[in-house]
Amino acid sequence: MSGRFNPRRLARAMLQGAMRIAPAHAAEWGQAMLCELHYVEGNWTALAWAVGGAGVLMKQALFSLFIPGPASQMASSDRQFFAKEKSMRKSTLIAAAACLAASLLFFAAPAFRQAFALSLRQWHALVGSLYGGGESPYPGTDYLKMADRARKNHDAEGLAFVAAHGWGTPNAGAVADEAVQIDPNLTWIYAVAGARNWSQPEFDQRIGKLEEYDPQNATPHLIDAQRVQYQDFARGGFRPGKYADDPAWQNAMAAAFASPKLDLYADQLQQLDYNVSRRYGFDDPYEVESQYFLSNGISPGFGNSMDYAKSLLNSGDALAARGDSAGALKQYWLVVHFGEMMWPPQHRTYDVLRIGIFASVFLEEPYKHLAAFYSKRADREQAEFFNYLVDTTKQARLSNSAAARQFFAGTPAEQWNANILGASGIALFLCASVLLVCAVVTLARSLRAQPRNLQSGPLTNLLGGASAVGVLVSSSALYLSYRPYDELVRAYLRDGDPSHLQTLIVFLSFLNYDSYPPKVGTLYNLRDFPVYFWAATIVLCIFAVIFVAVRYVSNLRRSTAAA
Amino acid sequence: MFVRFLFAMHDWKHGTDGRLIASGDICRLWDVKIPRMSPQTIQVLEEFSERPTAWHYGYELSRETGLKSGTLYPILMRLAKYGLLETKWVTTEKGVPPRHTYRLTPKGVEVLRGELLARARQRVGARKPALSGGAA
Repeated sequence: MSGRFNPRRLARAMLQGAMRIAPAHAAEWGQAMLCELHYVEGNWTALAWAVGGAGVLMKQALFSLFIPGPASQMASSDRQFFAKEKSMRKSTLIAAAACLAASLLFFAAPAFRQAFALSLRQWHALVGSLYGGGESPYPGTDYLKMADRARKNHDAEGLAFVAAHGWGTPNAGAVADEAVQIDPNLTWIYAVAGARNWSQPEFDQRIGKLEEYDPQNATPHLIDAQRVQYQDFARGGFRPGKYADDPAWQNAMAAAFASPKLDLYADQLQQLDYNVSRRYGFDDPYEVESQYFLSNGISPGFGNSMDYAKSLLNSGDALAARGDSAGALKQYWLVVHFGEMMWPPQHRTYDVLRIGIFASVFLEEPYKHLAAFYSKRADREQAEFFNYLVDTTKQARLSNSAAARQFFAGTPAEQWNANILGASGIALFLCASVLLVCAVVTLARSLRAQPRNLQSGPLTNLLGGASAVGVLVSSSALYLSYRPYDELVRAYLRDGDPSHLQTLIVFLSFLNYDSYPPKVGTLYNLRDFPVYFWAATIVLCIFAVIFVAVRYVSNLRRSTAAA
Repeated sequence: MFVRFLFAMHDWKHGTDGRLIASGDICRLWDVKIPRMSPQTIQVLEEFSERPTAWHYGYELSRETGLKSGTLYPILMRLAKYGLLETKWVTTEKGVPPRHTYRLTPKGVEVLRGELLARARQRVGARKPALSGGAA
């Protein structure tokens, strides 16, 4: 029957197939195994013979991929031996040089330089964690230099930017003064600088100026309350103080809650960031991200607001218990009024989520108190209305929380790209190190050789060639994984639309290397790669030392035995 | 891993320093390499040593040593690479494929002899303490 399975035929086909991929020097041996197949007794034995033979040929094919040249040639004399090495070295050298040149060409692309800088930050974070440095792993812009440049150009916005962004910049208040002196319309920058540097006493007067500039806004009062809280905290030896009893804190919070508006200057700040970024050519993704998140810095005293709201609600309850309904309602409505002021402008997704969650939490309580108040007074209609508002704010909080989680969860693409970028950075570093070691070894051998020409052994060739290819592959991966986010930064700088940055923020959040050593159970986390990398490097080095020592002792013994 | 050995060809009469070397002696020559002598390699060489001048077929060696083709052929390839084995194609009869045959070279014979000698010395060395212990 023609369709019947014939193991011998399969064996022949298998060997013939393997011979097609076998290198030239193994062809004769492939032919030998194929011819010998004819004499092997038994079909299944023949198949086993072919499987073994095909394995040998495939191994040779794989080996020849890494070490070019006729590996089967016998080094019968010095001349032949070195002739073989020379051909291997030459081809490897050309391939390695080509890979290296191609990798270096990547540096011409700004996106690659950014990606490279991002990949280096994981080392920065690791070094910082090892040495316990409190320094930020993201050094960012040199704000002092930028301030000098802005002064020379009389650039008020540039100075305001430094005052707003320069965390820990000495005299941030003085820089803000310079900006306001040039352009008084930038007085709002005191809010941002003050909110970020509220521990500095020299901001007292500046917050006063801000109150004059924007008298209806609650923000200056919130900053005041925060400053009082800090001073109380500092006086108490940095233990939780009783700031709530401090009349200065109470006055500041009362003024904030009585204010007709709450403006965090997000729009002005966004416009300032955009103008300055374009003018000064910022394209650092972390810088752009921090601009996006700066509104975190101008949400001063939200914790204070909660504390004050609680005290108002308690006071309202007490008044209600004493039968002072008007006084109680006044207290409750003050809290509702402040909560309603918190609803943010709708153009920043993250702000909407962040402040929206807070506002809904904030509003839930006074609505509950109002519902209870009317319920006790048997006003069913009002009680139901406020219960409905409690449910609505609760739903808003839950949906905002889910949206915030979704916002930061991102898509698998962001996580993968961040992981690839981190891993590529490590691979690039590793391959470049191996390549450097190979180059040094080759150079050292060449200096000892007579006549002096480039000398490298097969292992050096193999490692050098493989690491050069590794440098090229990791550079390409680094570039490709970051390229889409570079486009987003450029799109933002082009048209000023912050919605471009949302994907970038999620991508960067996956790149934040800030927890070392990694916790047990998170071994899969590629963000912890540097730790594993160094652990593996140390283990490999120990193995290498043991291997060299064992080899040395073994050779020594053989030499002694042979002598 | 390669072990650098110095061996004297059985037809050599003088070493590199001009001293007379007895046929079959193992000494050091730094410019010659031999493959790693695994137990399977020794087994193959021993098989050759039974009829050093005769030509052997691959399948025949496989049957007699019990080594699979995947183990045997890399050994044969290595031995041939280091000049310890010579190969030849022979046609046995018309209509059947030619066969690849193998035979030890004089260098192969010498390496085998050296290896066997070294093993014999090791065996003797390993037995000595037990014997002396018994004598005491």
